[in-house]
Amino acid sequence: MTENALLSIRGLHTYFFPGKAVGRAVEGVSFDVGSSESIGLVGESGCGKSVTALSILRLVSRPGKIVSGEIIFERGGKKEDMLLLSEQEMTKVRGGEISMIFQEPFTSLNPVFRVEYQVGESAKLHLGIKGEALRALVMETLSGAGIKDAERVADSYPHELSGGLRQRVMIAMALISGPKLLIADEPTTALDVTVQAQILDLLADIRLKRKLSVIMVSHDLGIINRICDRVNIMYSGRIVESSPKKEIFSNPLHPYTAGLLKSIPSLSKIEKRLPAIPGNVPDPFDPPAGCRFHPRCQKAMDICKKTEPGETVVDGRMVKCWLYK
Amino acid sequence: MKETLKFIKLFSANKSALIGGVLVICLGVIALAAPLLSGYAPDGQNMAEKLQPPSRLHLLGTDELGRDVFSRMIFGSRISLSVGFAAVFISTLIGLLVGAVSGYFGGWIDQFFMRLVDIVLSVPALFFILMLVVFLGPSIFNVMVIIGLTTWTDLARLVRAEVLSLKNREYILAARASGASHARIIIKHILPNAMAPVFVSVTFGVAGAILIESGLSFLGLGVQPPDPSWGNILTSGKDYIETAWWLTAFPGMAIFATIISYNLLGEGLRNILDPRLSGSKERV
Repeated sequence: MTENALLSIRGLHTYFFPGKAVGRAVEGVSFDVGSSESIGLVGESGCGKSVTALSILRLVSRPGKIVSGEIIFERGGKKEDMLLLSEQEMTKVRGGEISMIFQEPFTSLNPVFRVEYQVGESAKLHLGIKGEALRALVMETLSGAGIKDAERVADSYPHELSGGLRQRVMIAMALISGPKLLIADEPTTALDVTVQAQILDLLADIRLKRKLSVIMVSHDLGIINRICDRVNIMYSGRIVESSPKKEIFSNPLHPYTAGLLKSIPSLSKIEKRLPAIPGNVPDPFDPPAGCRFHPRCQKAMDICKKTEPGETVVDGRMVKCWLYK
Repeated sequence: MKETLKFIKLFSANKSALIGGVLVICLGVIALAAPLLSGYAPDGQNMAEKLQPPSRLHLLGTDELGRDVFSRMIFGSRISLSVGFAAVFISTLIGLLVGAVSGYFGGWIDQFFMRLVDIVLSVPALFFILMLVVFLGPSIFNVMVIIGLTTWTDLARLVRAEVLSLKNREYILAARASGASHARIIIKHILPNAMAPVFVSVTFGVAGAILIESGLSFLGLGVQPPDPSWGNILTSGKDYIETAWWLTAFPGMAIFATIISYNLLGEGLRNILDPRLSGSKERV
C-alpha cells in the first residue's frame, strides 16, 4: 500500500447471491488511488468494473453483497475502513467525500424535482446551508460545470434538458459538496461523440481545478487515454494489469490488454476488418478454471488451464499472467 | 405553473373528471355553508308540523318529530363528508407507510406486512367493522378510526407495487450516492413519483368510506341520533316508507349522488394521471 493513498482497496470480494447460485462479480480487487490522481478501470461489460465502483460507496444492492476486503479511505486525516463504518456514517461519505456520476443522464435525475433542488440537496445534507446561500452555491456549481445559463437550467425539470446538459447537471450534483474523490461510471457512454468530448474536457478541467481524485470506469480506452494517469484492466472480476497510462498504450503486458488495444479502430492503418477478441466474458456464475482468460487467449499454455496466475511485477507494473513468471 | 395549467386543461377536457369535480365542490360548499342554507336547526322539533310532505316551507318535508329534513340532510352532509375524509386520511397514512416500507426494504419486512394485508383482507370487511364497533362503541370518532383501520390494504398493495418499480431507478441510486438516507429516499424521492395512483385511490376511498358510514349509521352502529347522518335519517324514515316517502328517498339520493360524484372524479383523475389509459399523447 502506498503511504499517501487517498483510497486503497485491498482484496475486495463482491458476490451476488440470487437463489442458491453464487455470482463472483468482483474477486480480490486491490488498487490505490492517490491524492489528485486519476485512475481508469477498464474492461468489457460484465467484468465487474461497475460493481467495484458501487462497492466503494457500499451501494451494491441485494442480492449483491460485499463478502470481504478492505476499503481504506482517508477521512479528516485518519484512515478508516469504509466497510466497518455505520450506515449513518456512510451517508456522510456519500456525496460529501466521495461522489459518483452515472452512465445514464436520462434516468439519473428525478423527474419530479427541478434541477435547483436536486443539485442543492447534497449541499443541504452535507454542508447544512439553505436559502439564498444554497441557491448561490447551486448557480456557482452549475456554472462551474460549464452551464452558461445556470438560472434557466436551475429552474428547469430534467425532461426539459438535453442529454449533455443533464450530464453537466449530474456533475454539478456530484461536486457541490466538495468531495475528494469522484467515481465516474461510464459518464459519456450514453452521449453522442461531440458532447462526449465536451464532457471529458470538463472533467479533465474540473479535476485539475479542484485537485480531485477520479476513478473513471469505462470500456473505452480512448476516454481513459484522455483523462487517466494510471489504468487498471479488469477481466472477470479481477484486475489483470495495472500500469501507468503511457506504458499501457505503448507496451501492453497482458494478452487481454493487447487484444483491447488492437480492437480500437485506427486512422493510420486501413484494415478490412477490425480485430476482435473471440468469445465472451466468462459467466460469473460458472467461470473457467485456471486463468479466467485462457479460453480466449491466443498465447494460452498448459499451466493457464490449471492454475490461476498470481501478481507479477514487471518494470514497476503489475500483471497477472503466466507469460511473465 | 406550466404543469398546473396543463393539468387544468386536461381536467376540463375530461367530462367525467369535470362533472365529478364540480359536484364534489358543490357538495363541499353545501356542507361548509350548512348553517346559512338550512333555515331550521337540524334538531329543532315541531310536533305540530310532523311528517309533512315537501312544501315551500319545508323543502324536503319533515320527519316524525317535525324536524326539517332539508336542514338535517345538509348538516348530515357535514358529518358524512368529515367521516369520509378523516377515515381516508387515516387509511392513506397507514397504506402509504406500510406500502412504502414493504416495497423499499423487501425481505422479511415485506413478507410480514403483506401477510398482514392478506389477513386483514381475508376477514369480511363488514364483519370486521361491526365487530370493532361493538367493542369500541358507536360514535363519530370511532367510526372514522375504524373505517380508516380497515380500508388501508388496497392502497398499501398499490403503493408497494409502485415503490418496487421505482426503487431500482437510477435516480434513486444517484440520490443514495449523494448521501440521502433511506427515510429521505422514500419520502422525498420515491413517494412523490408514486402519488398519481394514490390520488385516484384516495378519491375512490372517500366514496367508499361515506358508503360504509351510511351503512353503519343505518344499522344504528355509526353516527348516533340526534346527530344527523344520511344513514340514520334513512333508518328513522324506513318505518314511514309507505306514508312518508321523502324521509327515505332524499337521503338515499344524497348518498347516491355523493358516491357517484366521487367515483366520476376518481375515474377522471385516473384517466388524466395514468398515461397508459389516456388515448391522447398529452400527459401531466
